[in-house]
Amino acid sequence: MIKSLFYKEWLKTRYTIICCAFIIIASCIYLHLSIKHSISKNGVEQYWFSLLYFRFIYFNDLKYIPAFIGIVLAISQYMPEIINKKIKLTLHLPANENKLLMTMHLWGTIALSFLFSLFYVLFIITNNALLPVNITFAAIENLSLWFLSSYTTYYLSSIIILENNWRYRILFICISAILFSLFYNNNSLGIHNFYILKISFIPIISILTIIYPITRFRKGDI
Amino acid sequence: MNIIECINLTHKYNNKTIFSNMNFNVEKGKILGLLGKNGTGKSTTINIMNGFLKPTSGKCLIYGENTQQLSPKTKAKIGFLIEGHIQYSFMTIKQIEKFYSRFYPNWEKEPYWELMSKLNVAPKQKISTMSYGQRSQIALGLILAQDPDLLILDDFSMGLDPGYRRLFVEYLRDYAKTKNKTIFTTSHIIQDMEKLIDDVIIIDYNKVITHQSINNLTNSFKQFTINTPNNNFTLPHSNLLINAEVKHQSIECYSFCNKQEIESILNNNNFIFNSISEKQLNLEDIFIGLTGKY
Amino acid sequence: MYNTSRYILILFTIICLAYTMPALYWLIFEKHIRIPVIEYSSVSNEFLFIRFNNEIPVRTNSNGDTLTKNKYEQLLPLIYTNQLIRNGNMPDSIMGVHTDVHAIHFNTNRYKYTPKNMFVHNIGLYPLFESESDRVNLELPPDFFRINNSIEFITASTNDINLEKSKLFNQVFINKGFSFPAKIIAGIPTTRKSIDEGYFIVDNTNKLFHLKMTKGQPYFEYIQTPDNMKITHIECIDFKTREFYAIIFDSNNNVYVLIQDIYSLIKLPITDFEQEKDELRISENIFFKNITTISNKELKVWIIDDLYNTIAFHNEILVSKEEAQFGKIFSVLFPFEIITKNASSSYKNFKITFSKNILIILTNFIFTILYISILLHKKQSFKKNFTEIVLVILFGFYGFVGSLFFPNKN
Repeated sequence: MIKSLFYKEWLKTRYTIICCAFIIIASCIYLHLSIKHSISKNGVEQYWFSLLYFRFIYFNDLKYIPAFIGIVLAISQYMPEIINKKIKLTLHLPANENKLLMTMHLWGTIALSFLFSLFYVLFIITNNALLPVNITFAAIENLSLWFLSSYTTYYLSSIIILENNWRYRILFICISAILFSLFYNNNSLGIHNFYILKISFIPIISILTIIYPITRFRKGDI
Repeated sequence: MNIIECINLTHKYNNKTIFSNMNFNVEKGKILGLLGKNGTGKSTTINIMNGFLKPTSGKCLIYGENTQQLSPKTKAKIGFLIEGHIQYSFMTIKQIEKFYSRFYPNWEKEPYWELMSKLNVAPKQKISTMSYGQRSQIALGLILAQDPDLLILDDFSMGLDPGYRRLFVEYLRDYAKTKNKTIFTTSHIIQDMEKLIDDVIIIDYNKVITHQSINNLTNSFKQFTINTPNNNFTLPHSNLLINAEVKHQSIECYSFCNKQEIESILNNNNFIFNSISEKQLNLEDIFIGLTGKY
Repeated sequence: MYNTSRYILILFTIICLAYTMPALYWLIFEKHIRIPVIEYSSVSNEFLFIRFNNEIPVRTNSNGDTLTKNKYEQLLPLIYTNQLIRNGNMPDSIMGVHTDVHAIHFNTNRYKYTPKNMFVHNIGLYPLFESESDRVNLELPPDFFRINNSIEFITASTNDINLEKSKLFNQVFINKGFSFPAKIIAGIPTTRKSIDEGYFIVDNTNKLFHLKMTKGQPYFEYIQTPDNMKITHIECIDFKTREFYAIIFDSNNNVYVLIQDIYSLIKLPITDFEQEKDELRISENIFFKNITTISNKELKVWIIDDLYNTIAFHNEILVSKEEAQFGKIFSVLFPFEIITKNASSSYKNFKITFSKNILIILTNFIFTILYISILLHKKQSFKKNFTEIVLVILFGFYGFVGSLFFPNKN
């Protein structure tokens, strides 16, 4: 079942995943050039110093890329399911419905994790070429928080897309927007590790929210 | 053995009753058609049967399981055709066969590929770029490959041209009869149904009008034209005369009664008439006769 | 699973409401509570106050007599020096000492510590300036150091470790008995300071050291601290008087100054100070130092002389946000609030602050009654909505809205 569902999800999302991978590669190349440009403009010592003590997020231009990836992945995966209510086909498959939904989410989670692993690797390579590991570690904290936001936006965008009732859809948009802001209220390089740990429960429990709109859809609750 | 049992099924949308206390069964090996005008609850019934709608009250059982909680094992025994032959349109015919095959233990790919060989589609062509007719063949092929015991088809004729409709009906009936499959179907094109189904349920707003075999229905339900010498007359009052329509010096009506019974009704009502002619009806006429034109 | 999913959405609604509603409340109703300004007059040797009555400053002396702005400023010539000179009111002598404007300016320094200084994200890389440079201005060094299992200097231009320099410094660290890694590294890493005094470093065994670079060579000294003293934070100070290097906080909330050159620690005579919550202000003038601690509830001022003996003390009870009327209403309306921006920390936090007002129970009770009435109206079973009722009892308004948004329809 898992293999076959993964096959379907792959067919839906493959171009999105490939495009996102290119976006990540392009972002890291851009970041590398941007750091190089700043160093040549300000001097390397001054640049390092400004990162250490003004703590500005030198990769702030990449801020919303993870969330964007989460949203487009959710769209590419779940939009085809709601067009002509194809989700009925999926729900009619001979397997436990909740398992089907969780497997679909698992695919998205794996896809996001793959993309973010690529992001981490390229980001670390880009950074380590020009900046000390201490700065890279701090930057990874910011990046990790954004990645967590991406998982959250992916799960919550899914329920916004799958929801059949516009009132609930608006409610989900409001909840998502507020929860999303929790991941983006930091404006300096590095984050307290506990903050990431504390709010990581949001993406983790968001996984299960998909059951709610789908069960209501199944019961014809519009 | 009843494959489908609907017991006291009632459904309301925002206090508007679609149907109430609807009861019917579908026996194994039967092909049953559900006919009704738009908005009488055909799709609602199909949705309840597939577990996509919770009825306001009552229940629907398939293989003895409530359709609200069908087990994967039972789902595997049901072939489901969504209105408009909807399938995963982002797949090609090869991909969709590969996808479904892993879910069904009795998957037989030969009938699928046999049907596909008749379609003029490129191997990498996505279903979304295909015609309605081609899509209907894919949906049919997938159902045949799944080899389900029960087929639930929601308006299978939607969007199909006459050739594809005929092809679909013939293939399906042949398959069902050869393999003793049960089919529950709706369609808005009644001529197609006539060629496919054994039994029919005709529903109107709020109620089941009739549920019987096509043979019984066509033999027992007829149109009568009553010629009268008068220009001015009142219609004889009887529940047995259905959808009576006054024309110039004649009355057209429908009834499950035979000619002698009609004559006696008219005589009992002191209705003066010259002659009564009787007409054998096809399913479409029967449907109109029972439900009216409006 | 369906109910789990529904409860998660109710929880999210509660979080969203607890995050936004209190913020909206404060935005609309919060009034700024101004802390009184308390200074010590070098003219009348008494405390002078500026308290705020509906945002209007009221200046008084220690007897409670109201002072005009001019009179108030005349009593504080070491603070309003320039204004008094302009007005022609500057006294010729203060406390028997001839007034020298240059000396007044030189000896007037201010420093403010807030818990934000302590809870700051440390990237762990520091520039070590040349302390005895031939240049007039300080210049950024070409490398930055870090201390893990050794001290390492990373050359910025190559992003490589300067092995030679690292080895040189590392040897000095080892010779002085430094135990790696460092727990605290405190300095003033800016070229804008008047002079470089390097860094104060606490090693893994809580020993304090002073690191500088003079003429390219390491200067590394062990500093004797009281037995069992556990340093928690160091604030390096750049006062023109150069009386002390730093303010040092220990785990018992004692605060010390580290006297320049002789490295002796002098404990400040402050009490009930909590470094993780309270603000500490140190200002000095030619005659004395003013040490002020500000907590949520109290403001305390110690005036100390050159020998760090207390000359005068004053404490003032403050009205906290929670005690003000808008704060009381808040604590009755909202069972808790979620705050991510912490006033006492530069870290973003996910902190839940519960209402301490007993009346919140009544508010939650009213919402519970309201919720039960809705259930009765909709002819819903109490048993099936037991969890929702508990949510409303516990989370009041938030639970009420969440349970209404995502009702139990089964």
